[in-house]
Amino acid sequence: MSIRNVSIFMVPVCFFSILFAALPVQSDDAALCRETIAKNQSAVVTLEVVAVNRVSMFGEERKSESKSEAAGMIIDPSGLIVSSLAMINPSEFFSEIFSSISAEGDIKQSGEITGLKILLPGGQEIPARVVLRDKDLDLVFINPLKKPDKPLPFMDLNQVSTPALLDQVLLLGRLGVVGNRTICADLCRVRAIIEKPRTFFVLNDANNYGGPAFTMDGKLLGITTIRKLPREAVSSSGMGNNILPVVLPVADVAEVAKEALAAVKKKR
Amino acid sequence: MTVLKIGPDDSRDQGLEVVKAWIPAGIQVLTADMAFALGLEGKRGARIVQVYSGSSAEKAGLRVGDIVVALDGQPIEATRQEDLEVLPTMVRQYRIGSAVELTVLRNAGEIKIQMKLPAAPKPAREMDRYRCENYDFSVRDIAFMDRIKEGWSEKQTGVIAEAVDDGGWASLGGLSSGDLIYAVGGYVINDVAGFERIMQQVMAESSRTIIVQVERKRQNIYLELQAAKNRK
Repeated sequence: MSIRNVSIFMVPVCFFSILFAALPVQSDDAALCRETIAKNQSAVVTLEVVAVNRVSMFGEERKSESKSEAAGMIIDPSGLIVSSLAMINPSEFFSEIFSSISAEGDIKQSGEITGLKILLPGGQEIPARVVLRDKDLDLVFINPLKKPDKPLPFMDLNQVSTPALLDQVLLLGRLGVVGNRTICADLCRVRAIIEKPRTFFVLNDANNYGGPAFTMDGKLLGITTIRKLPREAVSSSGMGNNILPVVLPVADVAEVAKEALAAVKKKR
Repeated sequence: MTVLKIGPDDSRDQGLEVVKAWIPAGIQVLTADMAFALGLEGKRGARIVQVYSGSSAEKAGLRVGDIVVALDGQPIEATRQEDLEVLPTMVRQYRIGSAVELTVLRNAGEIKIQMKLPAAPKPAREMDRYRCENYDFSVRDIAFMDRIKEGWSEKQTGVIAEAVDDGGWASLGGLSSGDLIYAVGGYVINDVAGFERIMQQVMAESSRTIIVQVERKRQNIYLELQAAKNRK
């Protein structure tokens, strides 16, 4: 057999070797992910939001009501939920974009939440309210208006997990009504790790904002949110370079959750 | 006549804001004009105009007149009055208790100041409140920034009148929004909870008229407030 014939023979051998070597790894990853999903999916819920939005353009104001859905994760058996503020009240998020492209301030947008419901995976609906908001971290904490009949499944925030650059992370969310609010999952990679002013894991892509993110060992890494610089901190106009899909570490969520639980206690 | 409000209630509670890190000092933007006047042409940043007494900023050595030009090496991109929130917004991104380094211009030289960022005090809008329906006004607890603005010490007690209804009983008695109510019927008021208790006590033991002692623009005033005849 000539060298040339060996080379030709080796091409499909190498191809299939690589393919079969890679498949078991992917299969293992998927199996691990499915395990994590099964264990945590009941704590990933849909939030139904009704909001009144006001858009003011060149002195003319328009008011409209919108209904939207977003994912959230239960972090306490009382039903306390954390989600992405930008997903729950997009008008607040867009107001920053509008104001940054409208230097004269002639375009303004604002949104006010007027109705909120937690839609549990079993179909149960629980009226809820916003208890705490963090515009800087894109967090919102929501709790049921009435204590649930029985403790709800929740995610333990006392977990420590630190992925490295380019590691995979699993993001969970819920499809919209078109997908029967089924649990959905995505695998992303850590594109960058920001250390100052605080730790953020930047993702190469993300869909499930407001849902939990896990490392491949099944540990809760944090919540998927949008990192954006508030307009006050951006000297130049335009938001293009100032928005990132990130995971906020679970320790940071836990810290703010304490404040949210105290606010709930006070309101009761 | 029955008045119906159509549509959703627009004034629903939108939730509290998370407590954030801050630098306990008053600031002003180093505008381009001011920078020129100070011989600092081209410099950007925030000028310290007040350092709150006993605060971590004071302990760290920050002084009135200092110009903060960078936070942990990140320049403070503030050159116009509208940029007043640039530095506070940058600070808010840190966790409470984080150690930061401020780059400061002082006496034509550059120094570095290390400090830990404390939690910002609760803003006025999140202080405890009480609505006094019989007299048509509300009160709230004193916020940290009220003390700074009015020069009140930590020991100053009382509640701040707000939402005094035009043409209401308190308004007719001369009460104004912003008045500090420090005594009612001769009883000292400590806070909103105390005010609520004392108002109920005074209303139970007196006629329609109550005497309220207030501080307004650093002057002490006695007001006679009358309640509605059919008070609750």
